[in-house]
Amino acid sequence: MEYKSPAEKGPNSQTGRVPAASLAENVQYMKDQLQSPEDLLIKSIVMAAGQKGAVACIDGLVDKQLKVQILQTLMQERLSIDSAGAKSNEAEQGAEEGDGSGDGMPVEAGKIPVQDARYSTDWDDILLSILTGDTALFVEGAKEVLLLGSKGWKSRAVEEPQTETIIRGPRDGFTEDIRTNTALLRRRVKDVNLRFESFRIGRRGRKDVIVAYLNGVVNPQLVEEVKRRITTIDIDDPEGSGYIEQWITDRYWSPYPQILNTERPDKVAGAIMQGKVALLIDGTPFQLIMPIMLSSFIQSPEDYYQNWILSSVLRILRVISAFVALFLPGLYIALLEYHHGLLPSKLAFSIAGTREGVPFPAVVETFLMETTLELLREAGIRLPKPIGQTIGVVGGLVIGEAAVTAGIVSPVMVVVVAVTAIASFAIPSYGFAVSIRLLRFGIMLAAAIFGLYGIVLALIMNCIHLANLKSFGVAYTGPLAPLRLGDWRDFIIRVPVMNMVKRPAILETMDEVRINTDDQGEKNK
Amino acid sequence: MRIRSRRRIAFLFVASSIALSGCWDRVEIDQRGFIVGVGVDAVIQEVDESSAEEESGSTPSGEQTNSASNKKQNKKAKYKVTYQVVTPSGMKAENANAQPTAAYFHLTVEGTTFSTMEANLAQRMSRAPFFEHLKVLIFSEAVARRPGDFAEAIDYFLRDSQMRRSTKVMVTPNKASEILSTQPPGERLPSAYLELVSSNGANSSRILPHTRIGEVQESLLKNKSFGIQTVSNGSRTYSTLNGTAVFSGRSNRLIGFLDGRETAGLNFLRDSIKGGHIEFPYGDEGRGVFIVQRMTRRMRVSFGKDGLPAFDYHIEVQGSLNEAYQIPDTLSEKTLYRMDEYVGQSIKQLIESAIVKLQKQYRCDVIELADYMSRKHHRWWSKHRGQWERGDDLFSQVPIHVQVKAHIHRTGNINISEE
Repeated sequence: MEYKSPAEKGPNSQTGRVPAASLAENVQYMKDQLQSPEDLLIKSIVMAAGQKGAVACIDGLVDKQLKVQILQTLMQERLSIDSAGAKSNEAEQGAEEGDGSGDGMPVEAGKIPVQDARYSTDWDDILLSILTGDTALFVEGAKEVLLLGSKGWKSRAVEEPQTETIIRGPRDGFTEDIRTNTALLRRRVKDVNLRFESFRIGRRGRKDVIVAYLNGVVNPQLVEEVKRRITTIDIDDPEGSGYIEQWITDRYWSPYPQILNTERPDKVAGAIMQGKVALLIDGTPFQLIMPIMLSSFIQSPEDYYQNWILSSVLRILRVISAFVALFLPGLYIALLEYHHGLLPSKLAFSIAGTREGVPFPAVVETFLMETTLELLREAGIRLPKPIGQTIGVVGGLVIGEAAVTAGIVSPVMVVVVAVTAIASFAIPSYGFAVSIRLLRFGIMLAAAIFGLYGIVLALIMNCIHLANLKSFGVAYTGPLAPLRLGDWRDFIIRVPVMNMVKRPAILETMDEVRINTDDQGEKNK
Repeated sequence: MRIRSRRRIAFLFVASSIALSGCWDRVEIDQRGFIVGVGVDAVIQEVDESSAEEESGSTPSGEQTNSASNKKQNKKAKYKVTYQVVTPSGMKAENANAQPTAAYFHLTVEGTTFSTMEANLAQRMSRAPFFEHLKVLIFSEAVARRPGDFAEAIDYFLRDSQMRRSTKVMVTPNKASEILSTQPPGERLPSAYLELVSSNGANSSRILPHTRIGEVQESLLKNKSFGIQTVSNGSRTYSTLNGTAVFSGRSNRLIGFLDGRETAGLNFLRDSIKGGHIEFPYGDEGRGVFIVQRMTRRMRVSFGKDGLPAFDYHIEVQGSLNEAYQIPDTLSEKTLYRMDEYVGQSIKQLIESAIVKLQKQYRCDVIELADYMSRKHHRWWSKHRGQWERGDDLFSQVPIHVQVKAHIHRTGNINISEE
């Protein structure tokens, strides 16, 4: 596998260091470099031909069965290495060295029953391979080292995604293992044009990152831009997808996420099919999709699995819920502190009645309750799972009820807080829901200072910001602000699948058509 | 350096605009004294003083009368205004065991200007008076009749920024404070009760469509006559909305009342019938009740030799028979036609009684013929505008012909109740 790496050499790089011909020397060097930890397994072997050798690997990173197979093969008769075989091998591999004094690897890679085997003469490469789960074969008298792919470690099974559950649709989710993830994606996109481009990022962490896209569909400029941004990442270890997301995002000051993260392979596959680019990152189940628009946050893969009317209604509901989650507490403040005439009379009287005896002004009350709610949420995440859910549900109810009975807050406030919380849970994207939670407090502050006028000001500021945002060159306000009426087929309303003929025009894909219209079908015949 | 200091100044501007202008009109909702009803009575000198004193102690709803205002002020005072203030804690839905607290209380203030009275009010209330939820405004006959007073009084309720143009206006021949004290069981606020009753036109033809204060101003500005709902019989348990207070466009003051029947007639003329019943005789003995379900009105103007317009009303009413006494088989064609005939006559009588009273007695064009003429025959109207209600008083002379056709569409579930 060829890696394009921005940090070609790690900080530990011993540039140019080449294995010696002596087996003992090599083994010793390796032990020195890694300080012979307990999980470094070095086994000295005598091969069938009588040659001495050593096999090195890291315990836990290699497939035990595969390793036994390798050892068996090396030590069995079948792999008798005659001098002629070694010579020919030498001729192939060590042609440049030319001296023919047995510097080359006498074992032919093709005779070892592993899928992935290669020769190396670079200590950096050898050590890194060992650390990523390969098995290295040293042979007495050979300067070359044979690296045998024997990766195999304990990884979590494919499970249902934790953060994005849906009713109807596939239940598998990405795992921390990038191989599993690429497999999950391949199983969905069986197109020969599906491209995986590998990168290795991080001077010390050496994280595998794969840029996945559909060649011939995706806008090539987009792919170039994604790759360019990835190569700028120069950090010791980009842990998880968050680091990479923040590094390559367009505007890191914005509260709005400009890259979508998801645990769902079907979501990634759908995005790739649309002409977007996905980043698969080793060590995290959260993969990245780019570019995205604001509308991506109210869309769920389920929308495409269900009847289009239902999906459209649900999307409208999500839009409403986003607005409710953003504005409701702010509106509550504005209406109770400034605009009492805007409430229906009966509601005004009953709110005034329930607020009688509440010691705090509505602003303080709202901030108090919203903060409590955020506290509960945060605590709910930290707590062990079974307790966490109980705290989330019961804690809210109990605290709300108790606060009302104690006369600290009014019952209407509890309703507002509860509705806001529920509304924010209805948003399919966790990242967006978090942004809204954050902005909500800003809106509340604006409402506390200027009332409805403040809310309108905050809304305008938000709109200006959103209109300015871009995600990898694509306008964030989706098909709305640069008006692309064709894209409205899959915006807030999702039209029947047969009518979604074209890919989003805003993505400027190379292949625009998703569904063969009649005359094209004729041509194909 | 320069950019940095500029940024600092920009930040200061933003921060100071927030800090200086923010929160300036913030008032907690529980600090508002919601005023939902206002009753305007005329001050009757001296006599009023003692009765007011009595009132304050006896009323259980916590009615408080301002007797504190000194006599000097009293002498000058023109209005005695009763404000209905909501007690929000009384509005809460309470559990059955708790003693229900009154949802409102009354404050009565005397004075000449309403703003001064509002200020007086603020001196006595823990919560500042707040008018944005004002539902009804009730004028007593005395105030409405005094020349100039009505328009003057209504000015404040239109001009103040807290006032809404949708507040309902009513006139009572009784005392406005009595009407405001109506509290039928089940209703928490008299004002809300009155507002609901005022839009009961679908169930009674005798209720004029409710009059908003904004519409009243329009009429006042146009110097045109108009009608306002009349509320009477103020007692503890109910008030009756029945009839019309006729305001003259000549003097902008109340000039008389139409009773319920005449109001029904007026409603037919103005095409504002939403429902209601018509009692009709059948022969010598029989009687029946007709329920109006739908009406269509067509009117036409023809100009006579003297250049005066004559108005023809064609009114078609459809409805059902709801009650019948001593009427033979209601399903027979003959009976049906006779009933239609009788219903038409009854309605015509209602209408004509209204026309006679408006044309001959009050000489006020509440029928809105002036509007019709100005829209459909503008040339004529612009010549005779000044002669319509004043001068030659053309309105009282124009002939108005009414034709009523009634159709009983349904006669009910039975045809005869007794042989």
